[in-house]
Amino acid sequence: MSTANKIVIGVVLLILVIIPHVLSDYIVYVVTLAMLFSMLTASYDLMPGFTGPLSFCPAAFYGIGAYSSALLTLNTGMSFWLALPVSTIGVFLFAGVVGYPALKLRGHYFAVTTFFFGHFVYLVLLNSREITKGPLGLGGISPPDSILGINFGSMTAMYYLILLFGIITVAFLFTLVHSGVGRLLISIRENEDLAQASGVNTAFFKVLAFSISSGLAGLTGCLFAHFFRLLHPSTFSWMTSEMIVIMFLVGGSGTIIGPIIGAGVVTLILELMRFAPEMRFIVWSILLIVILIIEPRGLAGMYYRIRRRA
Amino acid sequence: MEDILVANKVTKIFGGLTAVKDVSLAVSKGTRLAIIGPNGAGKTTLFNLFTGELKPTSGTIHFEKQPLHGLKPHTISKKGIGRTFQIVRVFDEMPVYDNILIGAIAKDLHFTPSKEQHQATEQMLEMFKLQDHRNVMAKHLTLSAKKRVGLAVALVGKPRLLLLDECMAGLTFVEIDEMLALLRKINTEIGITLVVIEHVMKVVMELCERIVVLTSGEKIAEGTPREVANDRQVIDVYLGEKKS
Repeated sequence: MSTANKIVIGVVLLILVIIPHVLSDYIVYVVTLAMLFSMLTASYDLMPGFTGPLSFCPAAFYGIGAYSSALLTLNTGMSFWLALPVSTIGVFLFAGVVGYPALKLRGHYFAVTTFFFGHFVYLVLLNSREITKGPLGLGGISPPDSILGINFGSMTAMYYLILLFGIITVAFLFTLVHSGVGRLLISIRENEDLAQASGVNTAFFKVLAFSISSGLAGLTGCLFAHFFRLLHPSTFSWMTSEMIVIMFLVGGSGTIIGPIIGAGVVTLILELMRFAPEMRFIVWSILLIVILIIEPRGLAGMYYRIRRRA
Repeated sequence: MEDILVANKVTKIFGGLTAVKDVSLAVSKGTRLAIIGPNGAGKTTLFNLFTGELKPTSGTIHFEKQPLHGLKPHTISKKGIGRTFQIVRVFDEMPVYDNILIGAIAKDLHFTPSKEQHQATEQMLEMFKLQDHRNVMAKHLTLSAKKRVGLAVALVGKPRLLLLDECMAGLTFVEIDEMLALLRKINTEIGITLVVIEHVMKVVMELCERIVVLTSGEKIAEGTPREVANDRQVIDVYLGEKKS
């Protein structure tokens, strides 16, 4: 990592740490949402950005993580600190079960399958009224139990908790994609047949990437559930998956940092446009088209191009 | 000499088409064998059966006395069979160095690639004269350089048998001579058994010790280059008459 990058990361982290002390609760709330979306989009990047197969269901695993953690704490009285790893690992394994047959399909066929799987999960959340309370929404979720004397009922504490998990997630993703495993994932993206002929167990690594990516989405869902404390199936519908895909494309695929920036930019635009709810879809659609025409590799691609010229 | 690869009555049927029919062949360890034949003769299909991309309809294939039929491509690759493709394949959006490194870590995965793997990659860069291109994206290379990268990716995994599918196609005369020298080096110095599919007769005649001729999925001749070149049937279906 170059010195310039280190300085930029340091400054960004410093700003993120200071925010709750300087700015209003509303801004803190928006930044928290942006951080959650950054985690989602960065972990989503592992699949289409590094391994290749385009999936359309990150929101489904986000939802499964959120509901499983919420229901575990509500119904069994499990502590948040146990429900978090349990639901994350649960989503990781479940994604493996879904990914194993689905990833036998290649290209568009896999994308279409995930699209319908995402919708299927949404319908199950909506219609299992005895368990999820369906369209009424699942309320009464408690904030994480306090540890070390920190009361997570406050917005600021929750903000720092999510920031911490965000840093851990991004650091984990960075280490992974720069490791030997990450190189093998990229080789699958670049040429699956050649990777296989070179001895890469492509079927296994694709399922592994899908599971890790989904497991991290589940972790984010779990944090969201105990931050927002009210779950509704529509939060995990196709719209959210679409939003993640847009953030991913705006930011730049296969860079981890790009999707994080993309998530920040899109969340910001959405909030700035709150006064005109219908207009904002038009605005971000135009933004997406413009960015993809100017630089198909997104904001990160634009950054690399400018730096090369300088 | 011991046989490294033995195919016994291998047949592959696609729907109503018999692409490979009852082909038996044996490759001796350390030798160079060519498979020739007109387009559509089933040469590449035979390669795909050897590497596990396709499963034989019937027949058996053994590599170093172990059965190969029914195994997945990556398992066969790990057993020690490397290959290159007819249509050149490289990892496009990846520097040449990383391309070759993948070949090494695919066989033996470490969380961070080991020192030996980096050394092996450097050796390949030197051997294939790719040092100047080490940081170039593979997709920007010339055809000849891409073919060398493909060969390096296969070779860095330390195979004992290398299957080369038309590795001369599209190269200039000078490049063919360079490639020939490389292949000889791979065979004699490193001791890797070579099986090549080739249309360039100069390469077949100069490089290979034995030749197998396929037509419409069937083996019609096998022997030394001299024997095959004088075989009546081979001249009729593939080589053609010499203009007098």
